[in-house]
Amino acid sequence: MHRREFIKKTALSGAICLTPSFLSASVEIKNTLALYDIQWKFDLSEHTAKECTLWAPLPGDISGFQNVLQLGSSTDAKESFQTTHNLYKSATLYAKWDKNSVIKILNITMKVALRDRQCDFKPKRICPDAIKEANKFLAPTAHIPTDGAVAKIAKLIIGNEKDLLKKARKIYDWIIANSYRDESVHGCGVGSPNAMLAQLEKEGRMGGKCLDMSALTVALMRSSGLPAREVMGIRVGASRLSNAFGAKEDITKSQHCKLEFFIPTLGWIPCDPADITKLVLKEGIEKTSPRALELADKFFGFWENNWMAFNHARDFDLYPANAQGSLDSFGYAYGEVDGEYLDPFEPTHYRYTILSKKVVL
Amino acid sequence: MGRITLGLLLLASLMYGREWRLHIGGMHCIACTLAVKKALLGVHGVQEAKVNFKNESAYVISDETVSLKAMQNAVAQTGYTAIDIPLPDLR
Repeated sequence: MHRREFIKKTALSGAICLTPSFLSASVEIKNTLALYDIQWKFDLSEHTAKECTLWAPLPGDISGFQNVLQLGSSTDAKESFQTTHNLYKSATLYAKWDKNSVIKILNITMKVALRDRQCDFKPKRICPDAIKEANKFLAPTAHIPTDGAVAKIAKLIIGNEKDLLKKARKIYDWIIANSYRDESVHGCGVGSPNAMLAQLEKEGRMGGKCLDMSALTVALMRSSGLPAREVMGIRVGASRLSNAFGAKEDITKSQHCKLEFFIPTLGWIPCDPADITKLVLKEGIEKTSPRALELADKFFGFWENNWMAFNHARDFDLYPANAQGSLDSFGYAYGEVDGEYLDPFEPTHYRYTILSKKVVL
Repeated sequence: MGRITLGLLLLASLMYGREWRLHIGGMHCIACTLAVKKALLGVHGVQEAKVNFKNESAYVISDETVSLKAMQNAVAQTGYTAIDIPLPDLR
């Protein structure tokens, strides 16, 4: 039944139109459907006599790749609602408990269907509105500079290359060649391209995690005239390709950021240089090994169906407004207690768990 | 008698602590507030510290033994700066 529902939804979304926000390049849909039941549980009850607020990122539909079949929540919060009222239209679940609430619990449940996303790199017609929308992702943001050191390195990487796809590939390969996964970094990293480039200048290579590498890739691409954006998400199950790319049932700490770039004749193209550095570390192989090279080639234009996207928001204001100001990214739930920031990298501090179970079809 | 007086003075200093409002420089994201808060709470005598990214500020309650210099040093060690902003006289 779920399979039928997913196929129906996919066909419908394809028939209507591809939305500019997640317009994908020619996507080869294979029979690689995976269905996941995901439960997200928050408990802020330990913060007695304090006002608590929470903004949780939610997944949305991405034509041909991701369909949210069911989404529900239960809470004793004084106020709670879903919203996409923010700069990036990122789906958000907001909940607020007042000081008098003794129990502060929020449960989110969702059923999500995922397919592999494989770009075939065949030219297609992209409507002008979609191109105009994509070009917004050429602009710098507070954490994504496109001038200074970023522009200088981008020029060095690109050289005289004019072809947009070749430019993107050069940047992708350069990131893999010059960065390594640093397990001491908290969460997905801070996503600061300038910090990465400063490290490169000092040490000759760059350590970080997925947000750090994705952010630098995005900055270099934007600086080279390619619209690009990070996509925050979470691994929801095992990978067919490597344990390095997978997650078990407890996915509380499985957040992962990928990225996509836009070419006017192809649409949005996914890629994931950070996962290649993770593969190298976890499998103890060389970047130049046949396996690493093969997967690096595959991950230029590919996302596997064990990863669920949330949003591509960076440097934006939440709605309703929080006390601390603009968020730099929204891959983790964001919470405040009496206006103070709750560390999302310490889920035991405010007790949240995310569980994911693959549904047998 | 002397011991009692000393004890009372110590108690008074703990009870009648002081408030600080600091301008925090160098924070580039909300997560920086955690590092600044940790640094401030690490200063002996600081009882409470609330840090706000949007306002680039920290509100601190401490006992009388805490100096601005001690807090500035602690914050500087984490890569940020702290400058005292005089609190408005509410009397």
